[in-house]
Amino acid sequence: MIRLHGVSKIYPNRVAALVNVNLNVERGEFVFLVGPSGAGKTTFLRLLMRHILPTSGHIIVDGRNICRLRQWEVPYYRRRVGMVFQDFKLLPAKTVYENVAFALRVTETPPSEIRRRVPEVLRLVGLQDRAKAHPADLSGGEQQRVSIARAIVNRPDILLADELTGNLDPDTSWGIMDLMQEINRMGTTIIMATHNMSIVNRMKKRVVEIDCGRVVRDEDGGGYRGEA
Amino acid sequence: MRPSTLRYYIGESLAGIRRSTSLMSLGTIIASFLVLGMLGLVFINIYHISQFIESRVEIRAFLKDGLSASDIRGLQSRLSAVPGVKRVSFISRDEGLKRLKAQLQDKRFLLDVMEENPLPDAFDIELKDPRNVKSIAATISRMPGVDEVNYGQGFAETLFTTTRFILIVSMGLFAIIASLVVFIIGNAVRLSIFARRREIEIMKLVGATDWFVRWPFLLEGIMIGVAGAGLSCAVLVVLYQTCLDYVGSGMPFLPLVSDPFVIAATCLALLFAGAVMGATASWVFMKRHLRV
Ligand SMILES: Nc1ncnc2c1ncn2[C@@H]1O[C@H](COP(=O)(O)OP(=O)(O)OP(=O)(O)O)[C@@H](O)[C@H]1O
Ligand SMILES: [Mg+2]
Repeated sequence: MIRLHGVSKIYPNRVAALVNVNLNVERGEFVFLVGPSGAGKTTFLRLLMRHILPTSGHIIVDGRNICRLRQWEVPYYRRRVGMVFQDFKLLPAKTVYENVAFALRVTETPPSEIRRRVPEVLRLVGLQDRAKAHPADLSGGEQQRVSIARAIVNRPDILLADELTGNLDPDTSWGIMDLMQEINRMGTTIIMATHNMSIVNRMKKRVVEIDCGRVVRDEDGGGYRGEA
Repeated sequence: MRPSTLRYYIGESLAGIRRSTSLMSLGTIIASFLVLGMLGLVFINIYHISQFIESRVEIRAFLKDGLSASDIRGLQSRLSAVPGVKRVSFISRDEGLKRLKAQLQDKRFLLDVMEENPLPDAFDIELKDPRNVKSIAATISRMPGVDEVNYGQGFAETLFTTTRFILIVSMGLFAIIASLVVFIIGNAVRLSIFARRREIEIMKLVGATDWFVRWPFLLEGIMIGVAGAGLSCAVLVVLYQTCLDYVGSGMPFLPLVSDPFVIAATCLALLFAGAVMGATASWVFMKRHLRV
């Protein structure tokens, strides 16, 4: 489903964030992206979002090179890719409900569809009772779940999650991981960047480790650190 | 486009206007359109008056006393032969007096005090192109039998140069005022874009199209432009009506345009200009401040 061929990203300040990355991810897979801070994980996810373009190489999603998408095609591609951002990117002036509905509204979803889907997805992330709250009145874990709800409300094929369990206590983290597994079971391909060692170790999923922009390990059912 | 999308655009535009358009800037926009509208009306009127006068520019050639009937007939045919002359008609001194009395109307007592008709015989000469009046008048004044020519010397020329001058000044003023309006509206749009930059970022990340992002700002500019122009139209119509009443009673001979159709057309033109300037302003400022 996702294929990267010799992908490199050098930022304008000459930082080589990714160097010659080759990777295949199949439909329905659950992939952990691990590596030290500054390794290039966020860069990797932003490339898949078509938020930035690689300096060289191809990124093929469902047979299409997303680097060659026309300007007008990019929004339609992004609707198929949900992203949970490291900093959540919630709108403080909007309620939980409005934040989630926002993603549907700006993609011109019919209002009846919005009224049906938002409560449904809020129930899925367990926030049906907080629909009228504003992000500032939520805990970190709740904000994160709003962000997840917004990312999946469009029913994307691919869900990208950046540092999902960053500042959360273990119980909350596990709650969110259960949610991610449930989303994955519904058929969504998930790529998740994380520093959370215990989660990676216990989930026994595919682990791709990046260091200094290079893929140094790609292991099914691996742990946070390689055997070596 | 879905009705819900249209409602979204309009809602966002109105919110943007409420957030970023001050009374001060709206006032400036209204004043600017008011000046543009007045300029337009002044120009229309000057054009109207000059047409009115042009259609009436004719040369009156007063004849020397004591010409015989055949002298007069000969002179008439020579006048008709002058290039640029359309028609020549003889006005006898009695006819001339009758017309003068008709013109003076209630002031005819001025003539009644005179015992004798003071007017000489004359020819009225209509021209093909009123712009040539000066040279033709010169030719005619040199003809034997002609005592004096009268064509409102200097007035016609002054009118033509004044019209052209006002046209050029108006165009200059129009350019300045239009840029001012574009700048003010553009600045309001820029503030709106700035106030919503987080929303815009998220919109694009979740897959909103460029046009979905742009429309509210484009509409905002157009709405401000049209609202400013509309309010200025209301003021303009009232002002102009006052002006018409004033001129009508004080200077009834000044043929001002009072055709409601012309005034409505001026207002429509202002509204259209408002829409175009608003759209231009949004577009230019969006190109610079909205990275899509
Ligand atoms: N917009 C940018 N411009 C320039 N350099 C950047 C930019 N974004 C990231 N970098 C650099 O690219 C490298 C990789 O950054 P990236 O954000 O991908 O790391 P990361 O693996 O997500 O780190 P973390 O775990 O801390 O989130 C870093 O050295 C970073 O400084
Ligand atoms: Mg990161």
